[in-house]
Amino acid sequence: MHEPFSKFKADLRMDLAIFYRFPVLEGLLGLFMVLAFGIASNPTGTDSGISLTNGSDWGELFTYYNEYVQHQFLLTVTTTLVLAQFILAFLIPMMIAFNIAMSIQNGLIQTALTYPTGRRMLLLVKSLLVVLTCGLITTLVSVVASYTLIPGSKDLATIFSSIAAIWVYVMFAVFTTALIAILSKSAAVTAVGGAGIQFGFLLIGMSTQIPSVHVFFSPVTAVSEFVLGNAAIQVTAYEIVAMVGALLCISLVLLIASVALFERMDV
Amino acid sequence: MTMPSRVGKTLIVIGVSLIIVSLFAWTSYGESVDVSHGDYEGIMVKTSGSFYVEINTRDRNFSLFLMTYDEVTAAMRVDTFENASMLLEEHNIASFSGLIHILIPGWYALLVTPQENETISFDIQITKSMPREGFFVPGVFLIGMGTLVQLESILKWTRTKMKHS
Repeated sequence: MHEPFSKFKADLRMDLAIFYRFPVLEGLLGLFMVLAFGIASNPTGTDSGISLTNGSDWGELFTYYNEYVQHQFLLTVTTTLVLAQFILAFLIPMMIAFNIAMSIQNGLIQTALTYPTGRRMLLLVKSLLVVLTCGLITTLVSVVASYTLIPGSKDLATIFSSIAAIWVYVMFAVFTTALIAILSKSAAVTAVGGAGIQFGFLLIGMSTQIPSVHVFFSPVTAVSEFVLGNAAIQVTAYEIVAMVGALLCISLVLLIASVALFERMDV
Repeated sequence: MTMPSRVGKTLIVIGVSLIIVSLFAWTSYGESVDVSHGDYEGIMVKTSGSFYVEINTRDRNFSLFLMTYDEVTAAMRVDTFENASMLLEEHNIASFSGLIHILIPGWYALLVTPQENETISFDIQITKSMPREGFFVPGVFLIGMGTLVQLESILKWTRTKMKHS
């Protein structure tokens, strides 16, 4: 039990030292901060009117504002995550191209494999670090920006499904691109092919004609529309869970396939 | 690269990001409302910095109140502004124009009510200017902190180098 953990730690330290030097993490954090805080501060939108008439029940207005603020909170988080999904569709293939494909292409992977950690652990660490970095940064900035800038009490449970959807999307994007990197052994093919597949998926997902296709190909958008109560998407909660679950299963299958191919690959 | 220098650079990147957010679009909008005596009408202003307010009536006297979101919702629960603490309170004025300084980003309620027993037509204009201080000031502060941390680590590195040479 102790040995795999120390192998994991050794690979983690090596990957952090090589691929996550300044300004990779800081750049990602800065980019998503601008996005999340920009949306939460609502720089261009007009504000809501307020009317307290004599003799009326102000308590009703209090209930209205509580719901309004809750909706604004939900809207801010989901808008940030939907836009983040498009940025990630471009960034994740770049990160995998530089981290995995370029290491294979320029032989750096041979040096990494001289560590007694094993190929499986090496690929797992590389892939999971990209998942963790992208997932944590997007979740953190969207929640922090909304909590800081939107007043009143906020129900974190309402944004849980959107956050879960972005994590599943990040996993899918990372594991698909990792498979392309292993198959192509080329950074250019990984970056272009990975981004092409991700944007292709999101474009197909934009169509709301077949709700299950919409949820499967663009999970963050579909889940966000669902939690916001958008009438344009006619989908049930069960369909959403099934489609997002299917995407998660496919992502895991892609990871297993990547690991299996990487173990047999000539480097 | 040593840890302090990365902390310094991270603070600088976060500071720059906040300054970029503070420079987001300039906005101006307005509304006209008829308000009867005893009623309070206005705008719930969502802002991350100071904003300019211009209120015009046809020479009728009115009162103006500015309060935080928490204060206005607390007043809604008890149906009165009696115990509410105001950020700005003006009485017996026929017009108002001025910059309202806000350092903490958030929502603020701007309310007007006629002073006399009459109905007044109000023109309210809000202009949110750049930079938004709620982001700009913390951004500059973080850049300053980051620069200090960076300088400290450079000085440490120079001292170590001089000791070894």
